[in-house]
Amino acid sequence: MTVMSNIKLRKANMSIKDHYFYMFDDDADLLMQKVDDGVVAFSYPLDTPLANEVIDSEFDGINFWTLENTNPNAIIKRWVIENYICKLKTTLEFIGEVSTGHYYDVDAFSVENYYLTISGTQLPGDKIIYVSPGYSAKIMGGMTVTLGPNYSGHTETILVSTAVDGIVTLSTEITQTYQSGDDFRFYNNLFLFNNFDGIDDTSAALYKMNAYDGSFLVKYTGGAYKDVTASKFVNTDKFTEYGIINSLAFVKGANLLFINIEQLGTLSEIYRSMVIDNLLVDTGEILHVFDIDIVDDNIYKLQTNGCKFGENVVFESGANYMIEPFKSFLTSVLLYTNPGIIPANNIATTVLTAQAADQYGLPVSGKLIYFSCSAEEDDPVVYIDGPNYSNTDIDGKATIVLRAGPVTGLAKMIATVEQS
Amino acid sequence: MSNKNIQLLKRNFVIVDNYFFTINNESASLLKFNTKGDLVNAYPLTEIISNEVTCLMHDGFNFWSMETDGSDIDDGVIIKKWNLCGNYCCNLIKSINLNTKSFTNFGNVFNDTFYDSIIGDNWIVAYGVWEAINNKLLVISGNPAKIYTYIKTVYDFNLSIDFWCTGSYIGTFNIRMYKNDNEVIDFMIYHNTMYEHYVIQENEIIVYSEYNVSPINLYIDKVNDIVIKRTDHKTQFIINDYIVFVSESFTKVNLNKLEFEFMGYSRHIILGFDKVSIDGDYGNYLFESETFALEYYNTGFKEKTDSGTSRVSLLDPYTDIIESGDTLILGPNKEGFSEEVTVSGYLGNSIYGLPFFTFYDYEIGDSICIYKHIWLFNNYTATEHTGALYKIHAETNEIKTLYSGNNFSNISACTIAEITDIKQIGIKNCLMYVSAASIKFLDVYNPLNVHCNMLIDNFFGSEIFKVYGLCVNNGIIYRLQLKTNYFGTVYTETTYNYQCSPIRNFVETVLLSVDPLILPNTGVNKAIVRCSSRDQYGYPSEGASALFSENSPTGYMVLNNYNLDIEGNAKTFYVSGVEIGTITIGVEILQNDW
Repeated sequence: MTVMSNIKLRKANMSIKDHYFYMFDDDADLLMQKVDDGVVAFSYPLDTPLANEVIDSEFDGINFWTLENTNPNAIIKRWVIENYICKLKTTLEFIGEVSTGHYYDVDAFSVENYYLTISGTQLPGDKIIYVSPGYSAKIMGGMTVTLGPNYSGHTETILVSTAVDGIVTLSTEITQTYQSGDDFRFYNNLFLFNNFDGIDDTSAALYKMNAYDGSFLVKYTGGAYKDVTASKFVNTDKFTEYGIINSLAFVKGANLLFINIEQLGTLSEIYRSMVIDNLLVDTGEILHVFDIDIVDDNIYKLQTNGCKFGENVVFESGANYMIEPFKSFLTSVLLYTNPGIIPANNIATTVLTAQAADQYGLPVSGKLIYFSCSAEEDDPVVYIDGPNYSNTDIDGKATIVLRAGPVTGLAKMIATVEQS
Repeated sequence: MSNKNIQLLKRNFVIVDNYFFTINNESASLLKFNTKGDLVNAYPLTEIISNEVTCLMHDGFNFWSMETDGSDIDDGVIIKKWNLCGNYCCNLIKSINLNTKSFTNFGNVFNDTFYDSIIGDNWIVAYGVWEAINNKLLVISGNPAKIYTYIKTVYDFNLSIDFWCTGSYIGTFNIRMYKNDNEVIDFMIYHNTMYEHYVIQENEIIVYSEYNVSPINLYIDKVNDIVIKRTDHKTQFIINDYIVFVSESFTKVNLNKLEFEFMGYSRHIILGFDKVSIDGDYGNYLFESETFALEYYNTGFKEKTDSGTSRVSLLDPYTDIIESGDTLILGPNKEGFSEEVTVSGYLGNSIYGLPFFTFYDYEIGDSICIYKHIWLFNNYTATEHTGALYKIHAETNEIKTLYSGNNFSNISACTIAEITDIKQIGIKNCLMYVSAASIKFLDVYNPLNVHCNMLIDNFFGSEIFKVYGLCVNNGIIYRLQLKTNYFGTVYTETTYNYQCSPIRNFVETVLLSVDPLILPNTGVNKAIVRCSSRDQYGYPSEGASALFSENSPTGYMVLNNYNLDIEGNAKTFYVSGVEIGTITIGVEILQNDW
């Protein structure tokens, strides 16, 4: 068992901005900013007290968002840091009633948001803004966009009048100069993992809501959406075979699953699944992940206890993060023999196969695997017949031959493979 | 060394491609482990299950789970078919409810939105447009509103449905009754004090009635009989004991769906259910079971098959197995796509006809899976508390055969596999189940025929340790246990782990005898030393080497190395020495195959 801590959050919600860790504290009514070792870097008082515990927080590049689960209702708030104060900008209250056809028991949500860049120079007085193309279906009139920061650090948030691919017309003129490549951000929808499908609590559903007025857009029924406590919207290109995917990542049990939101409602909506180090050693109990955030190649999981490298981890205090890699890493080696039992006669042989897979369950090829046997050398149960190493093939498999020894017993075989 | 390996939290497992799978209902996932117990992947279930899965099977494509649906005997069991069709989820394909469930009210069935209040125990008042409910027992949806109730061959319930409206006009009221093919349906309509008798041989009966003219009453006498009667003010639909009207002209009909359609204003509906059999096929059966085995067959495409084809050619045609109406799972193909098709008939030359065209392209050797029967070990023969082995068609859910016997009672682990490694029985498709400290190998095609019986080491002294699951992989039987006899030491764990037994014949027991037991110390007297060796099935260990030994300073064995004969026996002679004392005679059996 390992004892450790890092960010030591009092409350189990977390969002990451510029590598700082942020946490909403409903007791102190503030937004806490911490560095990696748990030291408080700053704190921002909330201009509006929180009545309930924040169980999930998100950062979309501009705004902080919080979720309060008040089953059968849910409250999502949008906050912005202004003048050292965390100011409440929007409150969306989702009322669970028979008459609405919905109850809400939501422990995780995500904000669909996009990070574009400005194309060309935009001068004060401009209302037509040129941005990177490909998002025409995502942005429309009535939404707000945030331009900047520009070279002097200014940003401005303006209502959109109309939008076509690559061109956004604002309702008011911009007041700053922006260069090509400056940020252009916006959000549009919220995704709520609801433990109700309508008012049916025997199933669950992923709700898509308008992030501006909280109106219900659509829901996708599925048991996979039940008891989800951590999620994150991410526009990722980490899976090269798919290109850039607008993804909704969520923790379900011991897996992190990736939804392609453009495929929601189809069989291919979940396009990747990553096993996470989330089972308590010895008992196999699945550990609770309260929140996740994704930064670069790292996936941060907020937990109150953990496990890593085959050992349980106990935190000294509060909730802390555990990391999972985005990049393919060797995660499991399956060892099996065929046949699995042979006579102890010095003659019989069996083939030992090691099968290496990464956290996505995909085979890991081209890895050199060394095999060894834990049996006594003087009185072995089996011998390795030939080389004790082999390379994994395209299916991640490497094989050697074992020969029976003269004594009966259980042979424990060990395969060692290095991530290179 | 450890007796712990996969450390499952739940009592179900199946091995697929050397990985161990288990369904954990608490995390609502299908979990995949390697042999050491490392989690390799997890697949969220698309449907939440509230009960622990007691048994898990795999047919080469689908997973099949069993759960007990409640604490009462008439809650029965549910068998569910799942698959992993490329979306990283474990997708529920279908459920088979083996129960005779009773409801006293439908509060837990109807959507809360739509009922206003419950009157008494058995009545619900509901309004307007209703949505799909669990289990598709009743569905009321759309505008006009509809009610469906899926009722099959055996009824054991009373149902009454009253419809009325506060207004004077409530629109047209249509009733459709669906029944199985080739059945005659008789019914009568009582109208203005007169009965009108109809006999319709189509699959669908449509009765049109203007509600404001005269409401109608529907009566279903007994299981399959239907009477329609009109009275003033309200319409009633009654089944079985709740009989208002009986006609001698009724004949039986198998209803499989009742549909009520309302056009007009939204209205009050009272539904009253006294005792309802869901999926009423099993109304005359009680199910108390922990385990089942799935009979399935795997083969491949014999020929390249393009999409849009209405025939498939099988490498192994299984002509004795596959029947018209059976389901074939084609694929996955090289793109990972698969589909289920129904067989319309055998065309000869390993080719089966299909009623529809295939959707995908397949190469020679691409997988074809056929699942046939569910073999269920039930503690009840029909409603008698006598064990039975049920053979249930996995597609139609029809009970094909029932083998009664208390040897099929309280069985907790079983599986089906093609056994090739037992010399004495050859290649056989066996239904294996754990009975006390042995595994019985039954002939799938004649379960009364026991091929063989394997001794397993799930006991210590007189205590027998429960086996929760059974699976065959790479010539080994894997048993899932909490308590184990691990090389002579008993371990009790809180997690489930596998224990192994080889299927191929292995030397298991050796019996040694010497006659006479006392010899004069003459240096010439002889005693016959016999040994007899058996494998785990009790078969003679023919051909194994017997190495005899003794510890006398001057006595000796005439020959000390023999091969066991066809009876598993070998004998030699011990010639006495000249000392007086106790001599230890030993024999070691060496299994010299490989």
